[in-house]
Amino acid sequence: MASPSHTRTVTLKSCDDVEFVLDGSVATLSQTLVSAMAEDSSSSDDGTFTWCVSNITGEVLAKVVEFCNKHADISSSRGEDLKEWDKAFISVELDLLYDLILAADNLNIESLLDLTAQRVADEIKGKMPHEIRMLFNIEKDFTDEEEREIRREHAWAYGGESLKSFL
Amino acid sequence: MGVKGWEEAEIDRLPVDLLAHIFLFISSFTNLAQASGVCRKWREGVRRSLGRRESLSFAGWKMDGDAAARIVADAYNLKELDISRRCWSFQITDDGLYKISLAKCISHLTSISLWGMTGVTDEGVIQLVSKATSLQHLNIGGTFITDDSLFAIAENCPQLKNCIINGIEMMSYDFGNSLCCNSV
Repeated sequence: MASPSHTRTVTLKSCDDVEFVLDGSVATLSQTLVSAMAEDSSSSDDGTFTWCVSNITGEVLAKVVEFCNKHADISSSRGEDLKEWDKAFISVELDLLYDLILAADNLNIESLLDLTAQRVADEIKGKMPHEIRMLFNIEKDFTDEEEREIRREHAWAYGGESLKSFL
Repeated sequence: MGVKGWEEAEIDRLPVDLLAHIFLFISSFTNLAQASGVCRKWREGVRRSLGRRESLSFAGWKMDGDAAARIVADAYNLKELDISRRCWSFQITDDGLYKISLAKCISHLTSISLWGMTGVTDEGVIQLVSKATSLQHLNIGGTFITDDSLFAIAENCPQLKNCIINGIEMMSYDFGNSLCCNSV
């Protein structure tokens, strides 16, 4: 029978074969790992559990493990200090940010997903569509008809000014 | 972070459901409107994010009834709707209430506030409550509705726990009495 998840050791293996060893209590931040451990009946006697993440690189997984270690550490997981730590942790380039969002989703780590999503949301706030497109390198793909519809529907959001110059 | 990171980043790698999760962290309707004007995928993401919300408050937003109704129509899982005047820069009308009442989520709403909406009459309120059959909390204080609305509420909202009428909170027992006494 499998040991309780918090007493086991978990080895996380990235798609480029980088391995990370986590305490079971740290791994419980990931609902994906919790479910996988619960289903695993072939637990080795020494209580280790290995999980391969096929689409997360070692570089990204290192950040995820760093986040989980910090957030599972009860002595440090309090108030302002943790907020400051999170802020510094999430000050990364956008590409790594997207990787972290995908990894948080894949491993189902709610607190990391919320932190990374909040960071992207903060970048969006207060910007016009054309500014958002420039920032995130997105191409406008609306048909003329869709664009007319958006202008009509969203006129209120722009204080009655013409949307044409903003779209 | 360097400029390089911004230019080469590919947000397109994120599936639309993750975009929707990001948009849950944006509470401003103006910002949501701007995000949905970016491209088709973002528009869909904003729509899906509205579908995950359980409460909406049009706090301080200068939008008309049509815009509010469109937002409510996308909010499939909505439970609480606040369209009270303290939140509204100008008045919603019966027509706005009618359009909002057409949204599928209205029958699942447990809470509605119309406080101070002096621009609505019995016509709009009756239309709305006739669809809001799961309602438990209703605030219709500061409106000029008459007994007609109250009878419609009593008839259509069997689960109502409390109802605020003209600043007085009535529990369901009082509410029934008030109807008997015809005292509004």
